[in-house]
Amino acid sequence: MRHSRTLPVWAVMGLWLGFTAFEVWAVSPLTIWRYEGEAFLIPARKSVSISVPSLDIPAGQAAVLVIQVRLQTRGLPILTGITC
Amino acid sequence: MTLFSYSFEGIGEDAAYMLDVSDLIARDQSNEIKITNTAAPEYFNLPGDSPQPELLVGRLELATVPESQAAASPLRKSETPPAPVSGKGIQLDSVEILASPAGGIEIRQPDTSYFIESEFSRPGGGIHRFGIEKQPDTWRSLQISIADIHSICITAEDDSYRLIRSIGFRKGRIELQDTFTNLADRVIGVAITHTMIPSRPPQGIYLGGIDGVDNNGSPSYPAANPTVFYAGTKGGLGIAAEDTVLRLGLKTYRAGTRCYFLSHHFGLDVSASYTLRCALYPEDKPSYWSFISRLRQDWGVNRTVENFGFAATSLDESYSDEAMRTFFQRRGIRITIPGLWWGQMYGFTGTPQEQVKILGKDPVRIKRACPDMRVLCKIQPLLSAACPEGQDPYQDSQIIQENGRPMTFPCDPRDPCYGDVPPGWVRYRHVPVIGNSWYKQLEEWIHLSMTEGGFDGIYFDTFSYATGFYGRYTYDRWDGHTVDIDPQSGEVTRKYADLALISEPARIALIELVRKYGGEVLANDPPQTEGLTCINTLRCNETTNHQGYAQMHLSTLTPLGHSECYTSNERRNQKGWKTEADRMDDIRDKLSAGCLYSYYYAGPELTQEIVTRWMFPITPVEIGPGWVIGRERTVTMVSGEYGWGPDTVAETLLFDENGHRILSPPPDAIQPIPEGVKIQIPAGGMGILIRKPQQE
Repeated sequence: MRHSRTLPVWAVMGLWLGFTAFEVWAVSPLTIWRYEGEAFLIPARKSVSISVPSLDIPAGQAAVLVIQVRLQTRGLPILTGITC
Repeated sequence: MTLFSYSFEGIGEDAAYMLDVSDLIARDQSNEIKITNTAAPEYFNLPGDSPQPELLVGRLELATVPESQAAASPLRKSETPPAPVSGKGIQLDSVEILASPAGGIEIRQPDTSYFIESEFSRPGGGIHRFGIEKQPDTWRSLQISIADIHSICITAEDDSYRLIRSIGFRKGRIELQDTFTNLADRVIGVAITHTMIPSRPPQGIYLGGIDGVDNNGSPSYPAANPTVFYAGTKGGLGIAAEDTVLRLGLKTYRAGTRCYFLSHHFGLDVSASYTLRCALYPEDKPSYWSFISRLRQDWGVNRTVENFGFAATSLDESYSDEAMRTFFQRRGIRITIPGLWWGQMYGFTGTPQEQVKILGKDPVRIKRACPDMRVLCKIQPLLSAACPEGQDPYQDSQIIQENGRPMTFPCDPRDPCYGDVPPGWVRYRHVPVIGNSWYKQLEEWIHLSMTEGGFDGIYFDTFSYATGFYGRYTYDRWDGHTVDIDPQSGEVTRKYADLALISEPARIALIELVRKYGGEVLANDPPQTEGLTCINTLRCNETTNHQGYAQMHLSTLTPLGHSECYTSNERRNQKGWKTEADRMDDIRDKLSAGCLYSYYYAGPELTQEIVTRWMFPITPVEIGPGWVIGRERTVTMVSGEYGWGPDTVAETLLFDENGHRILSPPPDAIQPIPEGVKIQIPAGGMGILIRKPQQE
């Protein structure tokens, strides 16, 4: 499946370097696959695996993963992190 | 890699992370995205019993962006190397050092060039640079000269400081020294960032001895292994921070192929000068181990290591002399540390003379069973016994927090070691400085231990004064170097003292005092200052991972073994910590990281002597991923050829997966070769070569 909508996102690339520094990379990616289910929660120390079908990535294009994540713990400020 | 943002304020609640996965995605086939929630309450200083953070995933997409835009991403951009330098240069063998007119450095090796750019904050605001390409003029003056055939000198100056950089070949390595002199009429701070850029992508980048990590060291936990190593295609380049001030303030991190080597809390008093020193090691093979072995040699840390262990803490009164003897013999332990501490625990409140009588029972009991055992007395040089709040007998030695209050250690009633104190009592934290009351107390304890106590040396716990958990700074004085710098104005906003720096002379004096009595010193934590690195002490490290093992690479290579109460879940197997095979697995884990072994608590029961019985004493001369080559013996878990030359190997021993000696190895497992032996290591086992006594 291919979505042709161009997403006006500010993608935030925060590098956990031991101090509060992150860089902003402003681009408009073209979505080629989207997880169609509801938003989901991953409990602590658990993993979720999602299969992605074979995709056609045109020459001259770079593939990017766009992910919106939030950590949820009562009393915390908005904290968002991801490890890959 | 961990990506993190404190807040999306000002960016938008629907903001998302975007990761360039071009090099991860398998084209023309299905892929799998795996997301693991590794967050834990303690990351956020929340109590351990707080609800576990859940990870909410909203949007999840794969998308494309034009390569031209991807190339503008912060990481991709960092992977574009500068053009070769066409400035002045010097050469030694196949390595050339060139200085660009803008002050940047290129170290040109046969297969790769490494560029070094530097940034220096500027009191009053702004940044000075030593760049590869032409920079805007920010210095009042900048001069580059070839000082002699072996060194380049760069002199730069502004209104507030002068910087003289010397880079050149000395003793087969490259030394880079930055001497700052304060020209202003006030205390100044200079935040320094060196950026290393390879001309081609490396095979690996080791920070603090570990490939693939993103950062090493921090102001709270400085770099015990203050190194970066680039493993190139055929060669490599290692960098090490050498002087104490740079080491204590050092943080390294990487982004893409670039590494950043930074010290952001460096200050100078009026008219003062200080030289920050690095050493660079061009290597003709892409081996971190070759680099770290050379650095060990140059730092003089290849010292003889003896087998020590805390096993006696597990030997209660029910052990017979015979049982104790067997316990030590099977492990080969020759230096041990009993359970009781000076002045600290279990409501121990008697006079020093009364305390030493109690402490002195342990060496008598241990030596009755093992007359040759060396027994060390335990001193915690940071914490004293609890006392009523405000009645600290060592008030002049307290560590003072940012809020002006003395630092204390929690007296948790659930903790049998630390909690047995009346309500309202506290345990103050102290720093020894020559002449203060805490230093004098430590001197007295050492004296009594080594005379009336019958001990053979001292074990100092938490001896680095460089771990944030136990206290890192005191804010009631200035050490002459540690400052906070406002990133906008470039001015010093706070002066304070690094405990590791101000206590170094006292710690050296305490070690020398033990030596004066002929005693042995074992200290917890690897040394993190230049002075303490130069002193021969046994060291241990409470660690269960390879990053911790690598912290021992510039010390005695002896991280503490696992124990039942001190075991990483990732490492331990499903059987628990019960069998001799578990112990052997732990020993091999350390050796796989170029380390030896030291015993913590008793651990699994042993049925016979195991491999550590033959591992010591050893004076390492080379370390590798799975072996330690010493003057007296070689310890290895990797099959191959070993030896010290013709007719040098006295004995070759093999050990099985339980650590037991194999008395009748297969005939082809040990084969003589001209330079030594070729050995085949059994699965899960190890080998030890014992060298013949050397002729003078």
